[in-house]
Amino acid sequence: MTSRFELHQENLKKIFNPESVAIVGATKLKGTVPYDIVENILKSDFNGAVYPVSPREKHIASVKAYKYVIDIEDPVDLAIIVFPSAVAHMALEQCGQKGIKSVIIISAGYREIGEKGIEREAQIKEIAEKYDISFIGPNCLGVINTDPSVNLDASFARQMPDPGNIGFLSQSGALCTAVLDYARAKHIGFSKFISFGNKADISEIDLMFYLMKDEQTKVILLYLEEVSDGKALMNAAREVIAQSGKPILIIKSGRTSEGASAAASHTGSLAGSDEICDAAFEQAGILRCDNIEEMFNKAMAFAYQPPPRSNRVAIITNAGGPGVLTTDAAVKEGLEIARFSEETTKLLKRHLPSTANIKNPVDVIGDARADRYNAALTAITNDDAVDGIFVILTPQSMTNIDAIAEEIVKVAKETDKPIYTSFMGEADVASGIDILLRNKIPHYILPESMCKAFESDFRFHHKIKGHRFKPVKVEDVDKEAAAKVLEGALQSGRQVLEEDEAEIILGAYGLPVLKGGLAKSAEEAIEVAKRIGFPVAMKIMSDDIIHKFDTGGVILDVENEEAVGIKYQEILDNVKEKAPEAQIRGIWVTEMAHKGEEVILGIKRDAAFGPVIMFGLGGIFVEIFKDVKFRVAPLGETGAREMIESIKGHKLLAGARGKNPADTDSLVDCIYRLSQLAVDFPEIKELDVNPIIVYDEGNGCAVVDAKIMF
Amino acid sequence: MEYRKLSPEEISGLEQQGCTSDNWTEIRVSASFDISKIYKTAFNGSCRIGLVNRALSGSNGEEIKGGIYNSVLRNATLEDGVLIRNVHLLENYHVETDVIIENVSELLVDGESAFGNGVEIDVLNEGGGRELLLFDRLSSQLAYLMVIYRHDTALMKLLKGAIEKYSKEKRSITGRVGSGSRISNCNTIQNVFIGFDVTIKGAQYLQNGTIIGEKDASTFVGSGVIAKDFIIQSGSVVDTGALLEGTFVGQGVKIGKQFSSENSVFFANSEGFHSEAVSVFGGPYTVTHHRSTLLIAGMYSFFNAGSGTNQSNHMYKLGPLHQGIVERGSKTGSFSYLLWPCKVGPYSVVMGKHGGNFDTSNLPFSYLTVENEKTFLTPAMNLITVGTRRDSTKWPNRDRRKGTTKLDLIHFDLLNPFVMNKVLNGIDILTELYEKTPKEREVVNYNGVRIKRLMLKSCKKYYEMALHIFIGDQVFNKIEKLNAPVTMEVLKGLMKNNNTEPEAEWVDMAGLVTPGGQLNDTISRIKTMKDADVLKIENKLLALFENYEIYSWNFVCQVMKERFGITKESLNSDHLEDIILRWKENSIRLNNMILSDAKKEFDANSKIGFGLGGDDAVKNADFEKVRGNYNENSFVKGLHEENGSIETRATDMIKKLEEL
Amino acid sequence: MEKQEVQSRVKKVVSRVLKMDESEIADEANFIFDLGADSMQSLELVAGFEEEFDIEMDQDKALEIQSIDGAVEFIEVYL
Repeated sequence: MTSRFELHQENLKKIFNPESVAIVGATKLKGTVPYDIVENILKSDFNGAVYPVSPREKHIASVKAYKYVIDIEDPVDLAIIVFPSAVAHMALEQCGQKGIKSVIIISAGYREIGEKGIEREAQIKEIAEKYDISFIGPNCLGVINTDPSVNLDASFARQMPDPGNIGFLSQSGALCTAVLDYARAKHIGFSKFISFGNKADISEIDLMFYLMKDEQTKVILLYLEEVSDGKALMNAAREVIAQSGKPILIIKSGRTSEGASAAASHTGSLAGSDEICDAAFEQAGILRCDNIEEMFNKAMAFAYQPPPRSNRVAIITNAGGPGVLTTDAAVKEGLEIARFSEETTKLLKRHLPSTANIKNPVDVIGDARADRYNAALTAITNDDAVDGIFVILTPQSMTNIDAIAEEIVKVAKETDKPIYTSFMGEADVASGIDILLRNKIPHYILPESMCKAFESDFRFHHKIKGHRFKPVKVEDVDKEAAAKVLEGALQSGRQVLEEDEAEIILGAYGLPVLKGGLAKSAEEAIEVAKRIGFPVAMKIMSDDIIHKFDTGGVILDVENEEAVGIKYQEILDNVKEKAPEAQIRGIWVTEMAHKGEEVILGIKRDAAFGPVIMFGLGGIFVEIFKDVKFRVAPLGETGAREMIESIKGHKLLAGARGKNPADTDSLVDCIYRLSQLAVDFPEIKELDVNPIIVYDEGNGCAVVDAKIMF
Repeated sequence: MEYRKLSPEEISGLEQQGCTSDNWTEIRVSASFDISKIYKTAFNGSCRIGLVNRALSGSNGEEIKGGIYNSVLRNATLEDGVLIRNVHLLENYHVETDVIIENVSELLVDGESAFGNGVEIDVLNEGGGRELLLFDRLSSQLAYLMVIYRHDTALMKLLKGAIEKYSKEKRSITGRVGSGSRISNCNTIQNVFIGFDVTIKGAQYLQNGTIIGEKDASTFVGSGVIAKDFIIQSGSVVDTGALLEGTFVGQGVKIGKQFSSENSVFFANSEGFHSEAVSVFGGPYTVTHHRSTLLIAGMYSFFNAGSGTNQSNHMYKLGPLHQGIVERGSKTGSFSYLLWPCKVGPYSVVMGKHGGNFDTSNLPFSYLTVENEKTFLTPAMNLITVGTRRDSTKWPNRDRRKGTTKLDLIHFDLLNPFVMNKVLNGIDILTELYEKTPKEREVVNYNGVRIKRLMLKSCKKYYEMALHIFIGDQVFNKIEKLNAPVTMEVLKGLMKNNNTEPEAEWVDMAGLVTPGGQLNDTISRIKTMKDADVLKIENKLLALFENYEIYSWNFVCQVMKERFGITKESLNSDHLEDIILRWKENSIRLNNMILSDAKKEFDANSKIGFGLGGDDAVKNADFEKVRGNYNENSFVKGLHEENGSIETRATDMIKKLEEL
Repeated sequence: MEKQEVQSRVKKVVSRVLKMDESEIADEANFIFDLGADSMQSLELVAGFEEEFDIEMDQDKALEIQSIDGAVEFIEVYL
């Protein structure tokens, strides 16, 4: 049996390349969605048959109309349902009877309106499954395929975009119209344009896979309002990038910190859904964008220009200030300012006036006209030490803007190096920018955006693409031992596991827990202490006491047997006085940890992405600077290492200020073992290892305190 | 302030610092003056200079030192603590303390000017005959009188006189830049009076105008703006290439993005972007945001123009002579078109291209659509839409006027006597049409529009619903506000039965709603005023505004008598109970209808914006921001809560009445 | 009134409001899916039924009715 996924891939072919389309529920009323769709399909010069289906009308827009879709004599490849949601299911049922497998449901009035709509959505889903139908929507704007052999505008957007290499997927229909308008002004073309609405059947993931194979699509853009299955999205993105090398740019709306406040653990409180989304996208190689402008800034770079060989850029400008600005922005983005070869320097010296700056950034001076730009541009693009060129222009009285734009276009056609431009200003430079954009030269209003776009392009081609994800499966763990403790706790209805139990679990997964044992009497405490050696720390174990220090429930550095006995009683007395009601399980006697760098590790479970691992420096770094890094589990050794290296305070571990470098290898080991634990036990909701102490290189680390919530 | 001559040491010091003067003896300075921070500046004509070298505050609160650099001054007075830098010509201006003027080509007054006061514009009718005099305290009500009451020549003469007198007082050969203002990167600014806390940044050309600012309502004029013969009131933003000629910009108005306006006025909280306005009387909250939108020769308020909206005032006969009235709360849908003359009733929605002239003033809340090139009207439909309810709560919340004086007098109530007056007329019209029309007829004609006969009946019920809600609301308010214990005697005492002639129809004076009779009385009082001036006239209008509640209650009593037969004498608790129950039933019914409309519109594809670029103009889509979860939508929640409170209020009130 | 009569009169109103031949209207026809009514026409239908049967219906509930059969059943309650 074919899976829904395979079925969708098959049926999507006819959604995009149908030979006949029925618009079910069409009307004659201009200015309404049911009419506009018919009109758009006809206007877009669709290369196929069009069948309006309308209970009332005999013809719509001069095309014969049918009462029911089953009345159409010829086969129909694609049905677009525009009936109100109250009766759309009836239309879908008839599509099934007619044997139509590919459907777009435009109608709104589903999940987005609450209970009644959820029922309706389940109903259409059921019908689709009964007939092996795949549908896009409901509650969407429709689909556009600009491929000249198809020319399908099955949407109620106002205008069909130009053909191009960008595939755009959007959950929001409203945003689509805005994007189309924005893109038209900038001459940005699309290969496919899809509004998928409530994604009740075909999801963004199905569509990403479809675009992966689509020949016209070079870049995939996605606007998401919610991530329903984060894991699947990550896997899909990884696969699409690996198989096709097409970059995926996503705007995920709702950059808020919801869900980050009411958590019981450090990890929980630090990991807002947005931070997790950021981490997950980064892991999957997805380029996340904050807004439409940023998305298209980057998309232009990918769609228009060859990938850079490396990150050495040259800057050509006719004004000093913008040149410096661009240099600063480039350096900030981690790009290298190229050093020109002697040959290039010679050429620049010959062609530019003596007042010009012939070093990178090259200043061709305010009175430069097109010939001077051309000379500089040609010399620089031919220099092997240059991987990308930024051309800056400010409109000065001598500047022949349009001619310069034409020159850039000419040079760009002859080189395999990416050329980006920034004509600064608005009114005077408008016609020049138009020339650039029409000729597919990326243009940016701000040098910062230009550098950001180049950086994305460079990063994608050199660091993301071809970087296969290899999670480590940790074998030397005692899963059963951990399971036993967890099961016991689950059965007794507890929700928090303290050090004693948490450390058994962590120990079972090979994390370096301190030696220790639970004592239920002074004698037992002494026994444990003798076994592990002095000094020891002693801690009260009780689910009812949260602030152990404040209740006098913790005593450190207990030096000998006698003291252990005395302190045992002292702790019990303290606790009885401060928290007489508390149920006490005993006292945890444990090794004293040596001093070292304190870090924190944690697990959180995200509704969309599943288990998430957190790493950060302890103490104020986590409390105040929130200097932590997230990764969705499972992760490999590289992933774990990247986590450590990407926090801001990383230098503290690498051996700054005369310190010895810390044993990051053992920390890496801890991180991916924790990742394995998170994957193996979905019942663990949150976990804090706080702190874990890292010692100097070669000396390992030690789990000092841990807490598990489930 | 006392000014002294410069000492020879000071002159030579200034000269060493690159300064010149065509006559140093004409340059007077304050007692505390010192020459530090004054470089490369020409002091020509007669100048008065204070201690410029004093700290003033930058835009981010940082301290900036005053000074004069690279500038040419002629006949200028600078108070203490000002920064003048790269001003190619500063002529005939008095610059108050705490002002920065930087990178400005010219800031000058060339001869006596009234700074835009007294400029005459042809508003509402492009062909003229409704000339309006602009001045810097113009309110929408005063403008309404000037434009609408042309037939009252005595009133016209008086108003004109008062405004001319006001404008005359503004005449001067010296301009002013008020304290706290910042002017930078501008081209020419000529004959412009600049008030307090005004920021002008990157303006292209400003000529003959006044820009008012206030401490809590600072005003911004931004890049590329070209304005000639204009007034810009406090708290407004005129930005990004706006093009104004003969235009009044009221308080809290936003204009920008190449909006172009000629012979037009825009009162409080209006917004104009992208589009064009000619001879427009834009009452409060006139909003036009979209490209290819032309507003022309019309009067609007609480109005929203869809993209591509257009009106025509020219039938190619005697010229552009026609005019249109779009009463409060109406909207025009995308690419809709109206052929003036037309009068569109309140809270109506115009969709499609209308080629006929019509008057639907007495059928509020209507949908105006086009079928087979004929205008069709469906009455009352816009009463039950989510948009109307949302707008009516949105407007007062978005009053951007933060200064001390609010010039325009605005009543916000959705159901106010002006509208209810029309609702009552509507009920009568629909009833009559239904009774009169034979059953075979499918449509009826009324004042230039067609109405489906069967709709007459259905829609009348919606008007009646509005009536019951309005009366109930008013009765509730009256009783709940009582200080005395509620007895039947007290309640009877509330009823007004002044058996005088019924009031003339209510009018909406561009925001202020008032009984026609009262307005006429006020006009008579204005006309008999001695030494009429603008402020005195404003006070009379303010009295009308403040008496709104009294007049409204009179209206309610009149309606109760005429429609329900309830008078002071006959009033009993059954009457009141009946009013309360109908109020409850209909209020909840209306809320539920709006809720179901909200559901339909919840994912509406019309409003876009958040996340896109992210400027203020797009942020007005707050409803859309929360879409995706109907039940948690604040508007929806609010309506559910309101339904709950309607129940409790009604129950409590009925209990109270039963105890009588 | 016989159900048959109610039904034929309902169809008469529907045919008049939606401008279609009575013979095209099936007993179970759905106003939107089979007959192509829009929301405005639904309002006309309600007023038409009221006029035809000389009754006053609960307008909101009446507007939820989707088919000829449904309308017949709903109207019968008022007769």
